[in-house]
Amino acid sequence: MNKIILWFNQTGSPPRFDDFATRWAGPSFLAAMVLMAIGIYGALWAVPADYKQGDSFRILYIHVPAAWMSLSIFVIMAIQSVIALVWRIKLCELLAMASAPIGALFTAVTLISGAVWGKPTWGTWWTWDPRLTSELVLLFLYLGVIGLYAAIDDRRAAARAAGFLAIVGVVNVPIVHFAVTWWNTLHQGETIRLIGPSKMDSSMMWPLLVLLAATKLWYIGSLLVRARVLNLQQESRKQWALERYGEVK
Amino acid sequence: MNHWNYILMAYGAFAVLMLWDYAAPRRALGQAMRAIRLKQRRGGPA
Repeated sequence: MNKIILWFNQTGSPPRFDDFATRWAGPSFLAAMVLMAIGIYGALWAVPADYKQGDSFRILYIHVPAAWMSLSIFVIMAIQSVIALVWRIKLCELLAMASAPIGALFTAVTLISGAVWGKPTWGTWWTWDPRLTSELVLLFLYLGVIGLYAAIDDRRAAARAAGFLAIVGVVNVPIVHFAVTWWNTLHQGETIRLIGPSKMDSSMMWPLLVLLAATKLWYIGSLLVRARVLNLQQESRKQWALERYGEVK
Repeated sequence: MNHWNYILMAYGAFAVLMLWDYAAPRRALGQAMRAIRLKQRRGGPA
Protein backbone atom coordinates (compact mmCIF):
# COMPACT_ATOMS: atom_id res chain seq x y z
CA MET A 1 0.00 0.00 0.00
CA ASN A 2 1.14 3.55 -0.70
CA LYS A 3 2.97 4.85 2.39
CA ILE A 4 0.87 8.03 2.62
CA ILE A 5 -2.43 6.11 2.38
CA LEU A 6 -1.14 3.61 4.95
CA TRP A 7 -0.13 6.47 7.32
CA PHE A 8 -3.53 8.14 6.84
CA ASN A 9 -5.38 4.88 7.51
CA GLN A 10 -3.37 4.25 10.66
CA THR A 11 -3.68 7.82 11.95
CA GLY A 12 -7.39 7.75 11.10
CA SER A 13 -8.10 5.21 13.83
CA PRO A 14 -9.52 7.10 16.86
CA PRO A 15 -6.85 6.05 19.42
CA ARG A 16 -4.00 6.71 16.98
CA PHE A 17 -5.44 10.10 16.11
CA ASP A 18 -5.74 10.89 19.81
CA ASP A 19 -2.02 10.09 20.20
CA PHE A 20 -1.11 12.12 17.13
CA ALA A 21 -3.14 15.17 18.20
CA THR A 22 -1.79 15.01 21.76
CA ARG A 23 1.78 14.92 20.46
CA TRP A 24 1.58 17.65 17.80
CA ALA A 25 -0.94 20.24 19.06
CA GLY A 26 1.43 21.68 21.67
CA PRO A 27 4.46 22.15 19.36
CA SER A 28 2.22 23.69 16.67
CA PHE A 29 0.82 26.23 19.14
CA LEU A 30 4.26 26.96 20.54
CA ALA A 31 5.78 27.57 17.09
CA ALA A 32 2.73 29.70 16.15
CA MET A 33 3.06 31.82 19.31
CA VAL A 34 6.81 32.40 18.80
CA LEU A 35 6.25 33.40 15.16
CA MET A 36 3.29 35.60 16.15
CA ALA A 37 5.41 37.42 18.72
CA ILE A 38 8.18 38.01 16.12
CA GLY A 39 5.67 39.02 13.44
CA ILE A 40 3.74 41.42 15.70
CA TYR A 41 7.00 42.99 16.89
CA GLY A 42 7.97 43.53 13.25
CA ALA A 43 4.52 44.83 12.29
CA LEU A 44 4.25 47.33 15.16
CA TRP A 45 7.83 48.52 15.65
CA ALA A 46 10.33 47.30 13.05
CA VAL A 47 8.77 48.35 9.74
CA PRO A 48 8.43 52.01 8.75
CA ALA A 49 5.05 53.77 8.51
CA ASP A 50 3.39 53.80 5.09
CA TYR A 51 3.88 57.04 3.17
CA LYS A 52 0.14 57.34 2.37
CA GLN A 53 -1.70 55.51 5.17
CA GLY A 54 0.69 56.35 7.98
CA ASP A 55 0.64 53.91 10.90
CA SER A 56 -2.88 52.57 10.26
CA PHE A 57 -1.47 50.18 7.61
CA ARG A 58 0.01 48.15 10.51
CA ILE A 59 -3.49 46.69 11.01
CA LEU A 60 -3.09 44.90 7.67
CA TYR A 61 -0.46 42.60 9.20
CA ILE A 62 -3.24 40.79 11.05
CA HIS A 63 -6.02 41.53 8.53
CA VAL A 64 -4.33 39.90 5.51
CA PRO A 65 -3.19 36.62 7.18
CA ALA A 66 -6.64 36.28 8.82
CA ALA A 67 -8.36 36.88 5.46
CA TRP A 68 -6.20 34.27 3.74
CA MET A 69 -6.95 31.79 6.52
CA SER A 70 -10.69 32.50 6.36
CA LEU A 71 -10.70 31.48 2.69
CA SER A 72 -8.23 28.61 2.80
CA ILE A 73 -9.88 27.00 5.86
CA PHE A 74 -13.23 26.98 4.04
CA VAL A 75 -11.62 25.24 1.05
CA ILE A 76 -9.90 22.72 3.36
CA MET A 77 -13.21 22.13 5.18
CA ALA A 78 -14.99 21.51 1.85
CA ILE A 79 -12.28 19.07 0.70
CA GLN A 80 -12.46 17.20 4.02
CA SER A 81 -16.25 17.10 3.68
CA VAL A 82 -16.03 15.64 0.16
CA ILE A 83 -13.66 12.91 1.42
CA ALA A 84 -15.95 12.27 4.41
CA LEU A 85 -19.07 12.03 2.23
CA VAL A 86 -17.53 9.92 -0.56
CA TRP A 87 -15.27 7.56 1.41
CA ARG A 88 -17.02 7.82 4.80
CA ILE A 89 -13.77 8.51 6.62
CA LYS A 90 -14.77 9.50 10.13
CA LEU A 91 -11.57 11.42 10.82
CA CYS A 92 -12.31 13.72 7.88
CA GLU A 93 -15.77 14.44 9.32
CA LEU A 94 -14.12 15.42 12.61
CA LEU A 95 -11.46 17.56 10.90
CA ALA A 96 -14.06 19.33 8.75
CA MET A 97 -16.29 20.10 11.74
CA ALA A 98 -13.32 21.13 13.87
CA SER A 99 -12.21 23.52 11.12
CA ALA A 100 -15.49 25.48 11.10
CA PRO A 101 -15.06 27.43 14.39
CA ILE A 102 -11.42 28.25 13.56
CA GLY A 103 -12.46 29.52 10.14
CA ALA A 104 -15.26 31.56 11.72
CA LEU A 105 -12.74 33.04 14.15
CA PHE A 106 -10.36 34.11 11.37
CA THR A 107 -13.30 35.53 9.39
CA ALA A 108 -14.37 37.54 12.45
CA VAL A 109 -10.77 38.82 12.86
CA THR A 110 -10.79 39.79 9.15
CA LEU A 111 -14.06 41.71 9.44
CA ILE A 112 -13.19 43.44 12.73
CA SER A 113 -9.65 44.43 11.71
CA GLY A 114 -10.96 45.54 8.30
CA ALA A 115 -13.60 47.72 9.95
CA VAL A 116 -11.05 49.23 12.33
CA TRP A 117 -8.69 49.94 9.40
CA GLY A 118 -11.59 51.31 7.32
CA LYS A 119 -12.56 54.02 9.80
CA PRO A 120 -9.34 56.10 9.58
CA THR A 121 -8.73 55.19 5.91
CA TRP A 122 -12.17 55.28 4.27
CA GLY A 123 -13.95 57.29 6.95
CA THR A 124 -16.41 54.49 7.73
CA TRP A 125 -16.46 51.28 9.76
CA TRP A 126 -18.53 49.43 7.18
CA THR A 127 -19.78 49.74 3.62
CA TRP A 128 -21.79 47.26 1.53
CA ASP A 129 -18.84 46.74 -0.80
CA PRO A 130 -18.70 43.39 -2.71
CA ARG A 131 -15.51 42.21 -0.94
CA LEU A 132 -16.80 43.11 2.53
CA THR A 133 -20.28 41.73 1.89
CA SER A 134 -19.02 38.42 0.47
CA GLU A 135 -16.66 38.06 3.47
CA LEU A 136 -19.65 38.63 5.78
CA VAL A 137 -21.54 35.93 3.84
CA LEU A 138 -18.52 33.65 4.46
CA LEU A 139 -18.93 34.24 8.21
CA PHE A 140 -22.63 33.34 7.96
CA LEU A 141 -21.70 30.17 6.07
CA TYR A 142 -19.25 29.18 8.80
CA LEU A 143 -21.92 29.87 11.43
CA GLY A 144 -24.39 27.84 9.35
CA VAL A 145 -22.01 24.85 9.31
CA ILE A 146 -21.44 25.15 13.10
CA GLY A 147 -25.17 25.55 13.78
CA LEU A 148 -26.23 22.66 11.56
CA TYR A 149 -23.66 20.34 13.15
CA ALA A 150 -24.90 21.31 16.61
CA ALA A 151 -28.59 20.98 15.71
CA ILE A 152 -28.63 17.26 14.80
CA ASP A 153 -28.25 14.68 17.57
CA ASP A 154 -26.77 11.89 15.44
CA ARG A 155 -23.13 13.04 15.16
CA ARG A 156 -22.39 11.26 11.87
CA ALA A 157 -25.59 12.50 10.22
CA ALA A 158 -24.87 16.01 11.57
CA ALA A 159 -21.36 15.94 10.08
CA ARG A 160 -22.73 14.80 6.71
CA ALA A 161 -25.39 17.55 6.62
CA ALA A 162 -22.97 20.26 7.71
CA GLY A 163 -20.33 18.92 5.31
CA PHE A 164 -22.81 19.21 2.46
CA LEU A 165 -23.39 22.86 3.38
CA ALA A 166 -19.60 23.40 3.39
CA ILE A 167 -19.34 21.90 -0.11
CA VAL A 168 -22.17 24.10 -1.43
CA GLY A 169 -20.83 27.16 0.38
CA VAL A 170 -17.35 26.86 -1.11
CA VAL A 171 -18.74 28.63 -4.19
CA ASN A 172 -18.48 31.84 -2.13
CA VAL A 173 -14.68 31.54 -1.86
CA PRO A 174 -13.85 32.60 -5.45
CA ILE A 175 -16.51 35.33 -5.12
CA VAL A 176 -14.65 36.77 -2.10
CA HIS A 177 -11.28 36.41 -3.83
CA PHE A 178 -12.27 37.90 -7.19
CA ALA A 179 -14.73 40.51 -5.84
CA VAL A 180 -12.06 43.19 -6.24
CA THR A 181 -11.60 42.42 -9.94
CA TRP A 182 -15.18 41.51 -10.93
CA TRP A 183 -16.80 44.64 -9.51
CA ASN A 184 -15.92 48.28 -8.84
CA THR A 185 -15.09 48.18 -5.19
CA LEU A 186 -13.73 50.44 -2.49
CA HIS A 187 -11.46 47.62 -1.32
CA GLN A 188 -7.98 47.73 -2.79
CA GLY A 189 -6.92 45.15 -5.36
CA GLU A 190 -4.30 42.44 -5.03
CA THR A 191 -1.21 43.75 -3.20
CA ILE A 192 0.65 40.53 -2.48
CA ARG A 193 1.15 37.93 -5.16
CA LEU A 194 2.42 34.40 -4.64
CA ILE A 195 3.73 34.42 -8.23
CA GLY A 196 5.25 37.60 -9.62
CA PRO A 197 6.24 40.88 -7.99
CA SER A 198 4.14 42.23 -5.09
CA LYS A 199 3.14 45.87 -4.74
CA MET A 200 4.39 45.88 -1.15
CA ASP A 201 7.97 46.96 -0.55
CA SER A 202 10.22 44.09 0.58
CA SER A 203 11.26 46.00 3.74
CA MET A 204 7.61 45.87 4.86
CA MET A 205 6.97 42.31 3.74
CA TRP A 206 8.77 40.09 6.27
CA PRO A 207 6.36 40.50 9.24
CA LEU A 208 3.52 39.61 6.92
CA LEU A 209 5.23 36.40 5.79
CA VAL A 210 6.01 35.52 9.43
CA LEU A 211 2.39 36.11 10.46
CA LEU A 212 1.13 34.09 7.48
CA ALA A 213 3.24 31.14 8.70
CA ALA A 214 2.11 31.73 12.32
CA THR A 215 -1.61 31.66 11.47
CA LYS A 216 -1.16 28.42 9.52
CA LEU A 217 0.60 26.76 12.46
CA TRP A 218 -2.09 28.12 14.80
CA TYR A 219 -4.75 26.53 12.61
CA ILE A 220 -2.96 23.16 12.78
CA GLY A 221 -2.67 23.35 16.59
CA SER A 222 -6.26 24.45 17.09
CA LEU A 223 -7.57 21.90 14.58
CA LEU A 224 -5.80 19.04 16.39
CA VAL A 225 -7.17 20.04 19.80
CA ARG A 226 -10.71 20.61 18.51
CA ALA A 227 -10.76 17.38 16.49
CA ARG A 228 -9.41 15.53 19.54
CA VAL A 229 -12.36 16.86 21.59
CA LEU A 230 -14.89 15.69 18.96
CA ASN A 231 -13.09 12.34 18.73
CA LEU A 232 -13.28 11.82 22.52
CA GLN A 233 -16.93 12.90 22.65
CA GLN A 234 -17.83 10.29 20.04
CA GLU A 235 -15.60 7.56 21.45
CA SER A 236 -16.38 8.14 25.12
CA ARG A 237 -17.87 4.66 25.60
CA LYS A 238 -15.12 2.81 23.77
CA GLN A 239 -12.66 0.65 25.65
CA TRP A 240 -9.56 2.58 24.54
CA ALA A 241 -11.02 5.89 25.78
CA LEU A 242 -12.01 4.37 29.13
CA GLU A 243 -8.58 2.80 29.53
CA ARG A 244 -6.79 6.02 28.63
CA TYR A 245 -8.93 8.62 30.40
CA GLY A 246 -11.05 6.66 32.87
CA GLU A 247 -10.30 6.39 36.59
CA VAL A 248 -9.37 2.69 36.49
CA LYS A 249 -6.46 2.28 34.10
CA MET B 1 -8.62 59.26 17.47
CA ASN B 2 -5.04 58.82 16.37
CA HIS B 3 -3.95 55.83 14.30
CA TRP B 4 -2.39 54.01 17.27
CA ASN B 5 -5.79 53.83 18.97
CA TYR B 6 -7.18 52.00 15.93
CA ILE B 7 -4.12 49.74 15.86
CA LEU B 8 -4.59 48.88 19.56
CA MET B 9 -8.29 48.19 18.94
CA ALA B 10 -7.55 45.80 16.03
CA TYR B 11 -4.70 43.96 17.78
CA GLY B 12 -6.71 43.82 21.01
CA ALA B 13 -9.65 42.15 19.22
CA PHE B 14 -7.19 39.77 17.53
CA ALA B 15 -5.60 38.84 20.89
CA VAL B 16 -8.97 38.27 22.59
CA LEU B 17 -10.24 36.02 19.77
CA MET B 18 -6.99 34.03 19.63
CA LEU B 19 -7.03 33.57 23.41
CA TRP B 20 -10.60 32.30 23.15
CA ASP B 21 -9.56 29.89 20.41
CA TYR B 22 -6.74 28.64 22.62
CA ALA B 23 -8.76 28.31 25.84
CA ALA B 24 -12.22 27.13 24.68
CA PRO B 25 -11.15 23.77 23.14
CA ARG B 26 -8.99 23.01 26.19
CA ARG B 27 -11.99 23.55 28.43
CA ALA B 28 -14.04 21.28 26.15
CA LEU B 29 -11.26 18.68 26.30
CA GLY B 30 -11.40 18.71 30.10
CA GLN B 31 -15.18 18.28 29.95
CA ALA B 32 -14.87 15.37 27.50
CA MET B 33 -12.41 13.62 29.82
CA ARG B 34 -14.67 14.23 32.83
CA ALA B 35 -17.61 12.80 30.84
CA ILE B 36 -15.60 9.63 30.15
CA ARG B 37 -14.83 9.21 33.87
CA LEU B 38 -18.51 9.81 34.69
CA LYS B 39 -19.66 7.22 32.15
CA GLN B 40 -17.17 4.75 33.56
CA ARG B 41 -18.52 5.29 37.07
CA ARG B 42 -22.06 4.74 35.81
CA GLY B 43 -21.41 1.40 34.24
CA GLY B 44 -18.37 0.97 32.05
CA PRO B 45 -18.23 0.42 28.27
CA ALA B 46 -21.44 -0.03 26.26
